[in-house]
Amino acid sequence: MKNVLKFFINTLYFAVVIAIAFSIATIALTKKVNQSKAYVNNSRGTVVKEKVVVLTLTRGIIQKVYVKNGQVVKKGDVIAKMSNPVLENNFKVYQERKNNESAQTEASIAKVSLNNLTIKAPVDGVIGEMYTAEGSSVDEFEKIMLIYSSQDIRLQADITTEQYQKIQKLAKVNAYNARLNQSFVLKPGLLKAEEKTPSGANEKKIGLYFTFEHDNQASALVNNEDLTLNFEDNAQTRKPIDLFTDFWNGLLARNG
Amino acid sequence: MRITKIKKIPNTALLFVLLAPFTIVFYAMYVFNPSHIGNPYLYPLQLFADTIAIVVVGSLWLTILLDLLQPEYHKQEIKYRHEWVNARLPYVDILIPTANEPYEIVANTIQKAAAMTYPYKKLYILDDGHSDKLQALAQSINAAYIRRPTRHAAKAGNLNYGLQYCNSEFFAVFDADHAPKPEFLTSLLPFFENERIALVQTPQHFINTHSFVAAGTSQAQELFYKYIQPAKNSYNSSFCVGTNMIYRRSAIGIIGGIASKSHSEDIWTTILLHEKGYESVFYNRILAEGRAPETITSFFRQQNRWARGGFSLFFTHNPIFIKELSLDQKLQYFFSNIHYFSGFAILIYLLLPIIYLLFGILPLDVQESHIWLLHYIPFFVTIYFLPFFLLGSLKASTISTSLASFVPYLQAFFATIVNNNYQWIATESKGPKLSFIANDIWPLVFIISLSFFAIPVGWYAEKDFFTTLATTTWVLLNAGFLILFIKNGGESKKITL
Repeated sequence: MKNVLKFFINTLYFAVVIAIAFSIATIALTKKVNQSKAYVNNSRGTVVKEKVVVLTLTRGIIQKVYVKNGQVVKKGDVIAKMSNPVLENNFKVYQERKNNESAQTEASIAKVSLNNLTIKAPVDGVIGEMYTAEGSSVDEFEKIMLIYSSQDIRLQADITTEQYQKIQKLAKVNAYNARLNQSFVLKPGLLKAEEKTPSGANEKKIGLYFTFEHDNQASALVNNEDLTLNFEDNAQTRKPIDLFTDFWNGLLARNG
Repeated sequence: MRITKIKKIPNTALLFVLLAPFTIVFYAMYVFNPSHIGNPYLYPLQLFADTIAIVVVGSLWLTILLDLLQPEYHKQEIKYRHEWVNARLPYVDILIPTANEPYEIVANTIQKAAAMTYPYKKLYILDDGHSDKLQALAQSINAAYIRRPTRHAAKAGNLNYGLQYCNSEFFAVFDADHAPKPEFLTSLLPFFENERIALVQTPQHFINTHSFVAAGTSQAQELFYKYIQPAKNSYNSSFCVGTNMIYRRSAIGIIGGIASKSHSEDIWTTILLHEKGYESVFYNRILAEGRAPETITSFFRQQNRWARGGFSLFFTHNPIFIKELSLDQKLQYFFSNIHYFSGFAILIYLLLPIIYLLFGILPLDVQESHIWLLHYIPFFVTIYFLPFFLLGSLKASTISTSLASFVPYLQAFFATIVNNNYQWIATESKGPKLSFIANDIWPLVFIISLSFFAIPVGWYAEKDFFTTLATTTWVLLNAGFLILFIKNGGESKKITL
């Protein structure tokens, strides 16, 4: 009788202790699953395009601008024409004196300057800001417009260290743009050891750059545009663990 | 440095003495560096545990080193002459306090005590268990049998009650489970020629090492009797361990009897003797064969009692603040007291890897884990392989029992803090009260079950493969040792003498 009682009480005692351990473990697991879900939902990235400034190479007056804001240009497209009557006149005068050797030299120099009056797009991209208008006079090496390059488009995202540890293991990451209603495939970059922790005391996140797998797709994106990142391979299917997590979340929420 | 002493200790122990300061400082340099703070809540815990571990191992190191460096002026005046005993032939009372221990064990002790070769002795069986079989045995061998009406102050009270009935110049005490060898008295009595010596202590030696728990305990004890007590002896601070010793009756009379503490009356009595200027001798020769606790319950009971002694001294009668003790004695008593704080360190070391698996947080910021490993491994080897360095072997039972001992240490700590009264139950006694094993080992069961639940949690979306792998291994090892302890600590049916 005494032994039966002992056995019963011991078993009860151990059952309570093991149940407490089990609860602690499940709370920890719930927390972990929630964490990994939270980072799937709340991660956004910003498109970063290379800014290329178009400069004049000679002085003159802007005669004609062939492009508008937001227009897509290819490398080598003529985007503007300038005029410089003095230079053109000089060139004609020098050219007529065919026997004068120094005049011919001056003519060839003037010809180079004349070629520079036609301004071509230095890169593939989209026209951004215009700094001048038709008819205004410009000096040498003056900014006339800005092109957002379509090469080496990147996505900059602020992520937590936990997210980085998960991203490291993924070869590819999906991102979604609401404006274009289009998904993009990104390749995550790698950080150096010293960059893996937030730098400032108040900062909690680290900056990470992603590159686009297909640059031509990404050229439709605008600089500074937002993309939603999706780190999970198949976020749609529910796993058994989700049911379990929901149960505990509900229980914890009910208890306050 | 005295070459003779160095020659006595094994080379591995010498290696420990030479290398321990380097490994400890090397690790401390890493842990105490604020740039390695990881989780702000766990870091203080790690720091606390490491500080305790460093202080405990450091004090052991210092004890061994101080023994090697013992200065000449500290040498006790030892006149060891059998002629003195033969000329005086003093009477010795043999006190055997018992309380409900199994009859076979007590009877064996009584018979061995009666068989000691020194003729001028008188046996007193102080029975708190009120056993009629023992009374019959006592009558048959012509020993005094004393029962007292109360069980006040446990063993100390029992001894003091028995001392009322005997008045010889010296008295020896044997616990019911420690049987003396025939030459016990003849070997120890010559020490008492020096009038200042109030106590001669011999080691506890355990014969029941076939039992897992007993083997683990006895290795820890071996460390104590091989290194710590001899070193304490060099500074006149070796203390009584409650059995296998002879007291000078007049000295005990001066301090008002055995210290009336329900636990650890032994160390309290010694410290009172030292305060009065008496000296103690530790004679490192095995003159009695004892039994170490074989079951979890008895092991915990014993450790709890010792730890209570340590904590109660530390908190209520701290040797550091006793003016009468010499600086060396203060230091040695202090070292003995702080050992029991290691319960906190063990608990923290058991919990930290589990916390990593559950919540993914580390006390230290181990960005470059190889640098942390470089600092940690020598320290780890120093601490965990300590029995190997000092005793030449490392048993699983030693690791198991020392891991599990955090339970009685912490129980004793909190009991001392809230100052509750201790109900003394003899280590091997089968008490009449209904006791539950769950009451003792629930912390172990909790840690083991939490370990196994934590492993799948740790591997769900693990952050760092190698850290998780290392932590899992570590958690499994700890849990394995604790399981071994529980598995082998059950009640033993057979008593082999």
